[in-house]
Amino acid sequence: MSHGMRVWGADGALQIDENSFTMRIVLSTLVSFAIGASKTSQDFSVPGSTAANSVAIVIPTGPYDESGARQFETEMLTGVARVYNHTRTFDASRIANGTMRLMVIRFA
Amino acid sequence: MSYGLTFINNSNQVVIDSEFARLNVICNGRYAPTQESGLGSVTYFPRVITSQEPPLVFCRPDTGGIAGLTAMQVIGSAGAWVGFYVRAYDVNTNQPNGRYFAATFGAQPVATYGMRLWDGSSKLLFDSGTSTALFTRSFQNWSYVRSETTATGSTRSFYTVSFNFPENEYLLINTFGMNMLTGSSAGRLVKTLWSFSTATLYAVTDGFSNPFAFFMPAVFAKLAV
Repeated sequence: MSHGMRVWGADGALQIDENSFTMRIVLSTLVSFAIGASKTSQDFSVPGSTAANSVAIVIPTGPYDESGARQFETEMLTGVARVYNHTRTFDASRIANGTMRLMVIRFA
Repeated sequence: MSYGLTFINNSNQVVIDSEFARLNVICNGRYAPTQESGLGSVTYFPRVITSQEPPLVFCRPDTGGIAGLTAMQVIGSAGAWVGFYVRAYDVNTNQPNGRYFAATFGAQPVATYGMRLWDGSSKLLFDSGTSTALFTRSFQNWSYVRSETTATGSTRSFYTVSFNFPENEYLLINTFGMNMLTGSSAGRLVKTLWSFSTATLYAVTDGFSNPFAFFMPAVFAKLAV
C-alpha cells in the first residue's frame, strides 16, 4: 500500500482497505399511497444518482401484516427515484396502499 | 467539504468521509430455526439497534443443497430494533441456517478504542465497533428465467442475477418479505432460492394472476475485505 487507509476490527480482520467500496445513503424518506388511489407514481429528486451508480429500494417501516400488506415498486432513473403503487407494464395489477420507506443507496 | 476526513480508494471513489452516512454493520451472527417445525427463524440482535429507520439485514445461507428465505420482518420499532424473522423457502428446502449482518446508515458508539467520526450535525458516521459494510454488487432487476404452474394452480416464476456464491457475500433480504402485487388480492409471495448445486441464485414469486414483470433490485455486500 503506497497510500490510503486500512481499518482492522477487534478480531484482527481487515475491514476496510484501499480497494474497498462502500454504500452511502442519498435519500431516506417515507412514501405513502392512499387507499383507493388510482395507479400512479411519485418522483423523488436524487441529483447525481443514476441506474449505473445507485439503487432505489422500498422496505417496510417495521413489522407488517403479512396477509394484507403489499409492496410498492421502484425504478431508478437519472436524478430521480420513482415509486409506483402498482406493477408497471401489467395492466391487471392491483394497487398497493400504505406507507413504506424509500432508500436510495449510492455505491459508485 | 471544507474540513474533516475523506478516504479515497484506488478507484478514486470516496470510501469514508465526514459528510455522508454510510452503511455500517451494527451486529452480525448466525440465524437458525426457532419455530414452525424448523421453518421459521427469529434472531435477536446482540445489541439493540437505535436507528430510526429499520436496519438492513443481509443474509448468507449455509452452503449446500437448496436454501431459501422469505417472509422477512424486522422486529422492534423506531429507535429500538431488536431482531428479525425469516422463514425457509418451503418444507423441501434447507431449514433457515446461515450468517447475517444488520446494518444502518450511521454508526453506533460501541467501541472502547479506535476511531469515531461525526458529521457537521453531530451524527455519528463511523465507529470502530460498527465497521462499514462493503459493497460488492447490485442489480436494478432480476432476469426472468421460467415459470411453472403449482399444484394449487398458482403461477410460480423464477428470476436470476449473476452470482457465483462467494462465501463472504450476503444478500439484502428486507425486500423478500412483504408480498408483491398481482392481479388478484392475495398478491405474490416473494422468496430467494439459493441452488448451490447448480450455482444459481433465484428470486421466486408465487401467486394467482402473477405477472412475469418483476421489479425488485438486488443488493449484495460483505463484512470485511
